[in-house]
Amino acid sequence: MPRADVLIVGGPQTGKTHYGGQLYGRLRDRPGRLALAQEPGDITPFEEVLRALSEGRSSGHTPTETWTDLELRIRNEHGVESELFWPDYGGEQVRALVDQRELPPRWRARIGEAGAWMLFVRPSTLQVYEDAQHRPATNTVHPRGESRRDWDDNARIVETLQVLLHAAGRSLLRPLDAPRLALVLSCWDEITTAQPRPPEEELEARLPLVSAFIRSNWVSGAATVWGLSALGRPLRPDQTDEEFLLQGPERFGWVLRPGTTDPDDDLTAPVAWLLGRA
Amino acid sequence: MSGSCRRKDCPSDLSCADGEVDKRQCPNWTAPSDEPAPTASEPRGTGQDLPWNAYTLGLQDLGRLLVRSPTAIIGLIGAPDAGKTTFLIHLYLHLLRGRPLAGRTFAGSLTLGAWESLAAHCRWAEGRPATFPPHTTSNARVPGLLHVALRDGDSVLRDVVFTDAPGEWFTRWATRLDDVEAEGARWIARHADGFLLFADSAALSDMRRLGAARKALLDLLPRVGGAAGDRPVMFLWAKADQELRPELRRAIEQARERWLPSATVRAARVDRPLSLLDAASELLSQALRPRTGPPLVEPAAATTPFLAFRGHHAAR
Repeated sequence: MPRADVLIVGGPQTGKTHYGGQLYGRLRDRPGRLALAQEPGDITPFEEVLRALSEGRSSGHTPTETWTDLELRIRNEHGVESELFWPDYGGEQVRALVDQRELPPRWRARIGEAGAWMLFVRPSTLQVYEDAQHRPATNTVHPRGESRRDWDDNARIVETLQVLLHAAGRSLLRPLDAPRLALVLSCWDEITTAQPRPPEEELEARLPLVSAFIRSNWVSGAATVWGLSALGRPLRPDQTDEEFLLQGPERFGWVLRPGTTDPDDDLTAPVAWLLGRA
Repeated sequence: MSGSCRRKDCPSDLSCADGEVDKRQCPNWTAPSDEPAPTASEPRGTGQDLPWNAYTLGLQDLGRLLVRSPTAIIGLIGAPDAGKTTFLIHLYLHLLRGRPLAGRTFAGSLTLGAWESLAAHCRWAEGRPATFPPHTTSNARVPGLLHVALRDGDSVLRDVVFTDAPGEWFTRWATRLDDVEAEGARWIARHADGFLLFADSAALSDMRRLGAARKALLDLLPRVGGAAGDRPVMFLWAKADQELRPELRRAIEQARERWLPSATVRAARVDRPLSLLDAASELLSQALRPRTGPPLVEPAAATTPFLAFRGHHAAR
């Protein structure tokens, strides 16, 4: 089994699908320091996403029955190959980690081997609560009960990281310099705050517990926060966006590098950083 | 999986106590005869894959999970309804806001589910204002230990555990030290690294509840004083927005000075949330300091330095 170098995880509807398709498109059509490997693996799912995007439509609901995990082999300018691995394309298994305390055996192996993690978090759909202590919260959801499903997303995301670290056999006694962590705030185009903030400030504002957890447990520089809009705008599965159709998916999508508020259309940048080539 | 483990200390909702990745492979596992053998390529986990379940920790969990650093145990002591649970809730809400505790940042928790469960009481539900948590009795909610890991500026990690126990334990313990129902209180007295004693200002300023509240507090003071030794104690006036009659306040302060002369005294009120965080940080800072052992005293038989030589002649 090839070594998974970059593990890409995130809950359902957190933008992993469109990022996968767009990333594949960039690597295929505009290779730079990173490109597809000679044998990239099964590219069918990525091609399917790109096909929908080429028609100006979003890719629609993830067919989780067809693909549970995805792999993509890439290479750098020196020909060194790496593998990107989505162990749970739909994101339901990531939720089951916390909700049902389920850790599939094959996850343990892949998580432990991966030298880098990319965690997708979608700011516009976070479930965080107002409370009696302080009023403001960006998205207010009313809790119905006390099951794990109703946890504030601060707790859920920290618990997800704790489970992944346990699965990888990592101790937190000393701050980590591995695995590298890129926390990606996805669907950034949905954020409507008046003053744009760099990604790490956006994370600290929306998920302070997660921000503290990451700062405490990773050596400075080993964990970074990125902004991402894989499409640059909302697309619908049933309606064609004309501009997208005319210009093509390769002209859309951008990242916010850590510490910046200016979009960069190099969607491979977070992967390059994770592989140590930023 | 429908089998079970022969070890009594291996809970059914956690991973194998002997460290087997798959519980069914453990020699202690007994499976019913009709259960199919495990397959190598199962896509899902079993629901028993992790050594913690995010709910409150019990005594067994403490010994098994928190061995990476000397875990500081903070005992919250007080009569029922004195404010212990509210204190814990606000502590968690502060952490959720990213605030440091005792100068240290949040580095994780094995009991996020327990913290969330407490906080659920303080969150806005449809159309209802936030309410205080329901009364904690020995029956209604399982007492337990709430965990938080903290990292300081030198990257040192410390695990801290707060006790979440019903007030009835302490009233029993105050009345009779060896009461069978007070075993939990005795455990806290023995093992805590710091004590937070709650004085219920609301009850002490209410003519109808004053008598019982004063007795409960005055009974607890000598108990805590006797148990604490040189371990840090904080005396906390909870619900400090309620004013006591001056003579009652003086009487309590005198008793406190007598039984807990080196206690730190603080006041806290929920309409000033930082007062709770500051009190917690202060006590925790004290409890996390390394405790020196009692000084070793060697009797001086003579003062000539030469006689301090200890060779094999010293035995004669």
